[in-house]
Amino acid sequence: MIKRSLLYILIIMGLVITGCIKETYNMRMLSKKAHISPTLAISAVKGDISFSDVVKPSDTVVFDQNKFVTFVFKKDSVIDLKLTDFAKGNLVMTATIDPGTFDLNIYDILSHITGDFLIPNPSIKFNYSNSFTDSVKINLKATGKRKNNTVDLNLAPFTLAKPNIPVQQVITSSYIIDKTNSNLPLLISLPPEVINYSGTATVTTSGVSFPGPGRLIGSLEIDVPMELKINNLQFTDTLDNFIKDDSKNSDNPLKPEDFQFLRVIFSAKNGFPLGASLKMSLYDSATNTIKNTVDATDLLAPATVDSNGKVTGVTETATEIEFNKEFFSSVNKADKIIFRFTLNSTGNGSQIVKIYSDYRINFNAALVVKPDIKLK
Amino acid sequence: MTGKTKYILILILTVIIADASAQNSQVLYFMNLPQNHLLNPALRPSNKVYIGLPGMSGINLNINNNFVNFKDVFIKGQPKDSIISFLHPDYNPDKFLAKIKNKNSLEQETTVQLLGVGFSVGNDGYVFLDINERIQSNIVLPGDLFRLALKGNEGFAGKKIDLSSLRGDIKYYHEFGVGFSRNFTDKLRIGIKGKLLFGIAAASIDNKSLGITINDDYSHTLDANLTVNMSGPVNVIMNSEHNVESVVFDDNKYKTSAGATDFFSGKKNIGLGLDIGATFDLTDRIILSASVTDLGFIRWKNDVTNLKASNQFKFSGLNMLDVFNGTKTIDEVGKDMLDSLKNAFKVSNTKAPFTTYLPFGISLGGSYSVTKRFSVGLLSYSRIIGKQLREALTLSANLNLGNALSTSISYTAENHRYDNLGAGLAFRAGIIQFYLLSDRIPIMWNKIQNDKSNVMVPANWNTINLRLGMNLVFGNRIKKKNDKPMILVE
Repeated sequence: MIKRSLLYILIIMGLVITGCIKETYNMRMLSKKAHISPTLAISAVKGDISFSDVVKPSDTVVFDQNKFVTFVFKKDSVIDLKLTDFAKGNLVMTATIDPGTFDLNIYDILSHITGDFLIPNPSIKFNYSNSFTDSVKINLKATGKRKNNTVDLNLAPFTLAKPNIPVQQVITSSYIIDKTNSNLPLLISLPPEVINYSGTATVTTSGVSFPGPGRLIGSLEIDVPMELKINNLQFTDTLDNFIKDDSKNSDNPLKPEDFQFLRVIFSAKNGFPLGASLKMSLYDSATNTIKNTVDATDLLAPATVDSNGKVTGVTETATEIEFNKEFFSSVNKADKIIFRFTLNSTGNGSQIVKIYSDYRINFNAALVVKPDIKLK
Repeated sequence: MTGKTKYILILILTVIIADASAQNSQVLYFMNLPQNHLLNPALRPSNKVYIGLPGMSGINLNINNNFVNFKDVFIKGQPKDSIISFLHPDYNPDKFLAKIKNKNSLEQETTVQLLGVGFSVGNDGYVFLDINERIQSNIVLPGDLFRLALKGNEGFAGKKIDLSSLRGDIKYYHEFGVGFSRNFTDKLRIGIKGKLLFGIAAASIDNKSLGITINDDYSHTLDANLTVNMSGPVNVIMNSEHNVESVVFDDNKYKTSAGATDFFSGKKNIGLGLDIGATFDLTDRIILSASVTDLGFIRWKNDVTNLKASNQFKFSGLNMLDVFNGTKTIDEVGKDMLDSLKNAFKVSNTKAPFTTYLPFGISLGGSYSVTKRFSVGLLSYSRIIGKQLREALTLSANLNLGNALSTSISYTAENHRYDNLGAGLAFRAGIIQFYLLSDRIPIMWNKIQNDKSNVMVPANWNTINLRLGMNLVFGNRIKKKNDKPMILVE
């Protein structure tokens, strides 16, 4: 029994120790290629932002008691005429309003904008103080200019109020220029880079009273209430290709072509009556060709408005913008990136919308990226 | 590095990434060796006296883990002879991740018996004394960590990356044990061993919580309540922002003999341990046994450093409000966020003593003597490491020819692996007894070829487990059983 047991044990031990070759690994054939390709996702940016968070009230931006937004541009001393400035005649004396330019300082922005844009109710307030006792008539010529396009104000001459002598030596008043008496909406909606103005002031005496030591001082205040219509207003900007990997011997292990995809997941609750879409194109200026385009048509949908143009509720959107491998393969073939934002107001510009300072937008943008990280 | 050295390193790596065992010497349990009292203090050898020679008495080495194997790391590719790693672009990482468990452990244990003495007292008493040097380490890597590295975080949207099982523990200590066993009845034998432990160095991670919750919008919430405790000659350099700048080894401890003696004595880090066991002769042929071993702790007080970070931080994207209203640039917003993250997890550096517990084992065994010298045994061994339970079930065939020869072969099923064959051999030449045993003997081999040499690597080597040594043994207590005469009453 002992011998038999010992024999069994020894046989089994012999077998297991001897073993057998299962596989042969020739390490000379080991491939040195190694990589990892994780899919990484992170919430990148967020915001819950109202109009008043971004634009603070000032002399230029005015929120009224209903929080309605109006842009106000002022220019003092547009007119400063004394009696001596008038060329003397028998009954009519005329003075020239020196030509001037009202620069809105929006050239840079306007140079990137195309499309239809209408602000229906702008107004210009001509504020003046007048001590002429006779009637003063102003003939103001103004022309809005944007590139080669011009729009004349087409304002008819208007007469200023005069002081009630002798109880009143100077009268301070204003004259409103708006859509009822001019082409102002078309001029503002150009929108103009500058407004050139000139004109004359004419004093007509009654023949009874002599215009004593008169003086006329006038300033302009352009009020642009933020009620508007926008249809396919496009903002285009061309930047150098910042994604391109210029350094051929860069130590950076990740090159554009190593990305399988990059996905931007954008979600928003938009309380503004403005919608936006985005196109991003890789552009080769040498061959004048677009190499690849990523299109986010409905990046932001406009909020709904009531019949007065006021927002009635937020509109939720969720958009995924995918930059695929083909896009990243084209990155190094382009030297420029063209961004094109398209703006539309609610109803694609078919109705007036109004901007209030308490409009809000809540947004989140997350990034999902799948790089191919080569370890060897 | 020579080809052979390289593949020995690969072999070790393979073992490190092989499948885990419960870290015991299952084969030893039923062998007639003095060292089996280490597994159950009620067990005793047949000889009356044994002396383990200093440094030669016994070396026990265990290295193992519980997740992937050599063939999971290096894969036969196409064409047939080519080899690719699991990180190769042509390999589907999901196949590798399928091997990954929720808790992936790497463990190592080395015990060197500096001195062992055992001798019989009276008819059935047995006293034993051991001095051991022990190094134990284990690391648990959460499965989510591998999934995060290879697949990214996107797949965790709406879930939590649970890293709470991340754990690391390494300790080096002296163990002085004195034990005694004797029969309490004809059938019941009980043994107990008390141990005094002297800790030399330790590092452990006390992980109360660690995780990253990824919401559906890909916002992240990071929560951590983590303490790294260290006892040893290291200095942690903190910067002014309470971040760890560097950890430097303090070799001044060894520049004087007094300092070195003080450090290596471990007298300031005292611990206690206990082994307790019993055997019960159910019948003449069946013996049942049970034991609890390595129940104990060490209180670390010397050169202690505690690095603690505890907080929660939510990142839901850079808030663009400040950018839009012009008060900050996006770079400044990003920097603010990183500063907030750093500030949220400022590390506190304290010197509070800490306690580490030994991984303890529970053995339940039974043997059936087929003949006087040949038996079969069944042994269940459970090892509790922190919150983890490792189990092993071993079936063995044992041949014990008194002190002259003791052999055993075993089959062990543990941690989802069922191909573990072990063997042990001990023989006596005069007063010298040699032994060599392993719980795992590979039966399938892979041949690793390179330019200069070939190395044989076990195809499914789940662990390295090796125990070997030499004892001086005297006498042999085995004697014929004194059967009581049957008295027939008519």
